Amino acid sequence: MKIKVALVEDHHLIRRGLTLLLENLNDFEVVYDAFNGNDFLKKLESSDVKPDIVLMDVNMPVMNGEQTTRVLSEKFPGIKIIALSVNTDLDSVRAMIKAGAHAYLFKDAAPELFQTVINKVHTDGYFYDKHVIQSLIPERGKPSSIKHHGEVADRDIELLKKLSAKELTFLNYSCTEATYKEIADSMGITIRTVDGYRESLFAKLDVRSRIGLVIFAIKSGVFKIH
Amino acid sequence: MQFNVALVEDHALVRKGLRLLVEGLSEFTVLLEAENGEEFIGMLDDSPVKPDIILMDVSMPLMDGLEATKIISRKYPNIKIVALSVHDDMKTVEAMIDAGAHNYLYKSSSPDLFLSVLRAVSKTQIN
Repeated sequence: MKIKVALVEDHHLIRRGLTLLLENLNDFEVVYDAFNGNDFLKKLESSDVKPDIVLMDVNMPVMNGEQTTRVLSEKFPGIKIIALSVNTDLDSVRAMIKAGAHAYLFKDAAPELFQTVINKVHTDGYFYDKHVIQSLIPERGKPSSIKHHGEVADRDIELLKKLSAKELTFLNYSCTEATYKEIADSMGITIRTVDGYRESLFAKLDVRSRIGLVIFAIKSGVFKIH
Repeated sequence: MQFNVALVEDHALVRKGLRLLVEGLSEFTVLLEAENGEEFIGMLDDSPVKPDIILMDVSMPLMDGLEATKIISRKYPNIKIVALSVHDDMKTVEAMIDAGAHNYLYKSSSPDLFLSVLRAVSKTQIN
């Protein structure tokens, strides 16, 4: 069965080109497209067909990608969002991931990577490349995004750099109410692999419990308390 | 009649999409693709067959569309250049036309307009 994709992109020619590209790849079916976030949300709410994946431009008039992603991830948490942008700065990546995007792709990505990322997000629920990971790691010496906890210690930053993308994902999930079994299901891995990530994080972060993981995630700015 | 088209655009996904759009019309073939002006001029010089039309993005790293258009229109005056950009300010449009572009299209244009312009430009005679 083809993966249902929706496109949100303000430039008509780019939108048409991406539609052709997706249709040409055979794995995907473009269910609808929209020229800004507002147009998209209207189409989404009035349609019986819901996309599996939304390719979301970041810079758009009327309602931009970040605003749309925030609304979409709250109202339709089952729909996966891939940000697609010319913006390569980490602030833009960070803003989209924090808004709820499951991956961030630059428009200069190769078509092969484009296909891989959509498939990965569909099967695994996310795709974190080095840009996404870097965007989530606070810069050395800069104040944490968690203002009430002051600055992030250099030690925590160094520890964060040692974590793999999947370990970071697991760390985020550890800060939720989810059981380890539920985390395994969400990440599309076995409970045994989850045990492996937990033990590996315990060793790398020198903690002994899930509470230790959560404290580290908050201190290092990986997990933000709203 | 068959026309050769070149695409100069730094974003690979956009370039690939444009290629599919252009090749949807039987009279056009994409001959060359480059991700900036500098790379393209090198390709153009080396290519025994020259394109009839170049679709030229404006903002690109290393050498932008404006600089590339100036050089190409001097060196290869028979090749027609269509600027293709997200910039919709008149200053950029005028600069590209002054540099030698034969037409200027916004990326927000409809695919129908894009293909009409491509067909119209391909039939234009250069004096």
